[in-house]
Amino acid sequence: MNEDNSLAPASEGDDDSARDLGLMLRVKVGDTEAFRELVDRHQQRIVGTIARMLGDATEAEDLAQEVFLRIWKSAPRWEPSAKFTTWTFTIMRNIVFNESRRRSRRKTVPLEREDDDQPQHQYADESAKPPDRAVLDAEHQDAIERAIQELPEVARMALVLRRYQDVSYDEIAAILKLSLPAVKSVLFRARNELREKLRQYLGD
Amino acid sequence: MATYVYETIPKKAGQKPRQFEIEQKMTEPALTHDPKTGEPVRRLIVGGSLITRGTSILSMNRPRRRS
Repeated sequence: MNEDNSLAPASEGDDDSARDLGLMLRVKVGDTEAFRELVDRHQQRIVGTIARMLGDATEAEDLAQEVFLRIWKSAPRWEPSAKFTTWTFTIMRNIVFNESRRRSRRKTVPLEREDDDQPQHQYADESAKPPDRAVLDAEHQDAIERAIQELPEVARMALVLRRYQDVSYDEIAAILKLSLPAVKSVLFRARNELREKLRQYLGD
Repeated sequence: MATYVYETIPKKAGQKPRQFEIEQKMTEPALTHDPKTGEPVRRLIVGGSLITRGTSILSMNRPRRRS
């Protein structure tokens, strides 16, 4: 009946959730060591998601700090009604969407995009070798990250959570406050858009 | 399965790291070598020009945000 195995409970995921729950119960009563472990367990996922959302890795680390600061401050009132990762990603979503709104009000333009006529990161290479596999792969990786950043905000977050963080469809629905069919539809469209933008890198 | 970005650790000066993606379970430890070529690798938080290699966000030695 269930065709999507991301919806099926995974025992390793259950172990992780149980560990998070135990840590959060300790954080709730002010245990800083438990908080440190929670940060260590989740910071890379939070930083990575924010970086892909905003296209800015340094800013991502600062905003990730804000996510964890909010967790620490909310901990005394926290009740284990939702999975820890769902709650954390929801806090992150609010912070990221607020930051996006703040940026669009200020109309900041990333430095790399100031002049669209100029190719990005093209510096003279003294060795002047033809592009080798390493260069092409880095270019490919960069193209993926840029294509993701061009997706609409909600689609971008859904895709990053699904592709890079392996968050289930159910959790994405809760984080983005969408229905399950809406999440599937958003992801379907986002993947098609990425496929279209990365067409030149796909195939031989 | 989550998708992780890795880059090779160059052995010689001037050699460029190569980035690639690989699907892994969250619980699997980070790879230390490229399974295809055997080259030593490290896991990145984000690849491409967004590259970040993951200082702890609790560290005081991080570059600060421009205000």
